[in-house]
Amino acid sequence: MNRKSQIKMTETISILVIFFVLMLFGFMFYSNFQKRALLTEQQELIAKRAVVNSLKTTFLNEFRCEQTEPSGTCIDLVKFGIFKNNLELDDELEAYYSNVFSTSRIYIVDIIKNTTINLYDNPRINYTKLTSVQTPVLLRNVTYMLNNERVTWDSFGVLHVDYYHK
Amino acid sequence: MRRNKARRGQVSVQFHWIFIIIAGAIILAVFVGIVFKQKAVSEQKIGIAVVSELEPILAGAGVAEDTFNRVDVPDAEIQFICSGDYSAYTLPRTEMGDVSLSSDVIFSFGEISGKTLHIWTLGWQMPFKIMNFIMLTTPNTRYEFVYDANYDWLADQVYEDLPADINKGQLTPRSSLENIKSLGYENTRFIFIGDSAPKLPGDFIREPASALKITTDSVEFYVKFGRDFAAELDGEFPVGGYFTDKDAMLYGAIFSENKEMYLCNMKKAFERMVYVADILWLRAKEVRETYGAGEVCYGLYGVGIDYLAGLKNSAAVCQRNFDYSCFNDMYSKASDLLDFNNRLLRNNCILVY
Repeated sequence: MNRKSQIKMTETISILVIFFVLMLFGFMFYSNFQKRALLTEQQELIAKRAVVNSLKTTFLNEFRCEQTEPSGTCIDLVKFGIFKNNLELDDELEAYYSNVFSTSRIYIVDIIKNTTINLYDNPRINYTKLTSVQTPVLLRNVTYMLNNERVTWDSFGVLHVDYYHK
Repeated sequence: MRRNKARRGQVSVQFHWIFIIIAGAIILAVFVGIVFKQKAVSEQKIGIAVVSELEPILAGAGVAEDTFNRVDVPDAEIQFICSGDYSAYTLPRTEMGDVSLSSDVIFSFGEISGKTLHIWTLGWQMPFKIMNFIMLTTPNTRYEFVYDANYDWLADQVYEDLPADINKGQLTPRSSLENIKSLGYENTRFIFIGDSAPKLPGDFIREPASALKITTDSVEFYVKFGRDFAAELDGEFPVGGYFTDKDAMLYGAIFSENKEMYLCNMKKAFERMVYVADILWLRAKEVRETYGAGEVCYGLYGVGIDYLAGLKNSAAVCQRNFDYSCFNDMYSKASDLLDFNNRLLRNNCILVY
């Protein structure tokens, strides 16, 4: 009788141990699955942030052409140059716009002249990925000198907004 | 022998119970752990979902002028903080950190909740485009409009310009104020149009409510104090000077919960105006140098540069201390600049903006 009950108890304990081990496996599997789902959502959020950054930059009034031009399609190169200088010289201004641009690199490439003008570069520490969003724009220089005469020079360019992230 | 057997039986029964209690406690603890873990995960998920919905919407709203959007978001409480130099939104019940809004101007209540957001954007120009103002509200906030008899024209204009989807009551004459009944909304904002001081209708004594008094050139913030409204200290601000169809500053005041929220956002707007005006000022100086000294445009630009410098200074003064004096000065200089830009257009010169 005593032996029988001992065997029964061992049996019960074994069942419980197996039950807990199975539950642990199940829980580990589920939390892994959850972690992956969360990671995917975070990646999607990062991709959206890259687009948001690009959108904010493209439509900045700081370097848009005259208000007769539709917003977001034309960049005034004189304003762009002034804005770039101001950012380099004024720490307060740089701190303000770092909230707009976040951890990104912003530059325009003049397709016709094949030149690049950098505006801003703030890489994230230990970044592992770079998501790039490119927007075609009209580049306008209202103070372009051609044969000693001032002309408004239009060119085609691409505004690059590269977003640094992990 | 018999006694021994009985004792062994007792121990066995006791052990059985202890065993059941311990095993039960472990199983319970495991499930409680799972529930807590799940709660944390789902809160984080909601946080990510809200931020991932809100960020592109706010960015889109920041670039598209005069648009109204009705946006569905996961049911979560969103807190907007704008105080001093700090501005952000946060989801208090999740582990998501604050999302900075230091360069965005969003007029709203401090705490909003619900599954639907109403987002309205209006461009702010002085006279050049500076940025978009974002008005954010939910169907849980009701806007009631009350007007003095001689202000019916202004009341009509303010009321009609609001998007139809905003939860607004009928335009109510001051004499029928007591006819406005509480409908149990989370917040009720009373907009009193006219010179008379706002008064709390009897039905709202136990309801959350705030008020704004509007005249042709001012807004004044009121808070609920006992059984009536009381004016906020230094809560009066100038409005009425605008270069677009709708007065963005006036609507900013309507959608702000209180004076602090409005003033904090307006300071951000003036800060941005200083930066934009500075670029235009430096550009004007550069453009002027490309004209010959005898040219009409060269002469014109000399005046324009002064307008821009003055405008930049007025904006800086308003950023420090937003009052009638700086605003009137700014509006007058902005009007001069508008005329000046038209003069440039007529003379075939490069435009300032």
